[in-house]
Amino acid sequence: MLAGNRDDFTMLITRYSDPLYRHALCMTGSPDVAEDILQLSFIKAYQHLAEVRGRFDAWVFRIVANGCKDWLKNIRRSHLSYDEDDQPSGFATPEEELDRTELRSDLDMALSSLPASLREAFVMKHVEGRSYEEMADLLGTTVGALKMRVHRAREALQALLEEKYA
Amino acid sequence: MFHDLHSDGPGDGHKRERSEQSERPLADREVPLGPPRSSIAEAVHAWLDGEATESQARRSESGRDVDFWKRLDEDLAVRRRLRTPSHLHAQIMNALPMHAPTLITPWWRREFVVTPSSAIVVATTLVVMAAAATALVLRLPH
Repeated sequence: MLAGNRDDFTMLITRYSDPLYRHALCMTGSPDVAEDILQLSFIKAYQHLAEVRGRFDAWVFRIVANGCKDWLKNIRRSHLSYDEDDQPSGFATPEEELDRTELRSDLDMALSSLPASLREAFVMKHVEGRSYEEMADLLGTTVGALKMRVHRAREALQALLEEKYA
Repeated sequence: MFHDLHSDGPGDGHKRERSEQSERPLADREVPLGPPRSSIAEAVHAWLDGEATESQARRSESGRDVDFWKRLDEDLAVRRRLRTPSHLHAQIMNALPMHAPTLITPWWRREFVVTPSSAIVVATTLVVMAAAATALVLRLPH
């Protein structure tokens, strides 16, 4: 695998791309940017395969996470929504669909107002479903610090959204 | 609104704000509004972290917070199901270079594997060199 076999690398992309795509999409709020970050990250990973030490998924996650942070540093976006045409819809009526779209848009807006570190911790916990231990391992910080970030992100999101949705 | 989120301490801004409000004397006809509702109960955080049950989180007037987070989770659940767009895998594969650059490792850091044949070759070489050296020494004029 580390010799750079393209077919084997396809397996890695298939196995790990979904959680990485979710991370990039929730961090940037833009499907186009998420796709670009994912593509560049996998190319970078392929070019440096020989340098991998430890778990590949943790290593490539750090490449994607850093790509998202770099993008956030350089771009201050107002609001970008993503299209879910390919995603299955679990809502029965048009009213429910409308409610869902509005909630998604408001949550996107609220997430984009969070500092990157809080957003990252919230997304890893609530979208990617990772444990605090796993998050600490991936981000190189402590469980306590990450709990604090997630709690602060929740407080901030609730303060922004509770008037409308509580 | 979120200027205090960037501070290092947990909730420094809120604490300072609250203490200033509580210490400030009320003006005439001013109605005390009570502490601002800005924090989520620990029980709700514990429930969201999977460390407590919903009924535990609903105690102590936190039912509204629980309902709020259940509503929000409807959207988060959709995000959890998101998949990579189907065209992206092919796009990434097309963008990959044909050969991954290999790392050139100096010979002294490379892995050394001893096989039976290589051991025999090395041993034979050492014996021949030792014999040649001995013969050379014996032929030297004393």
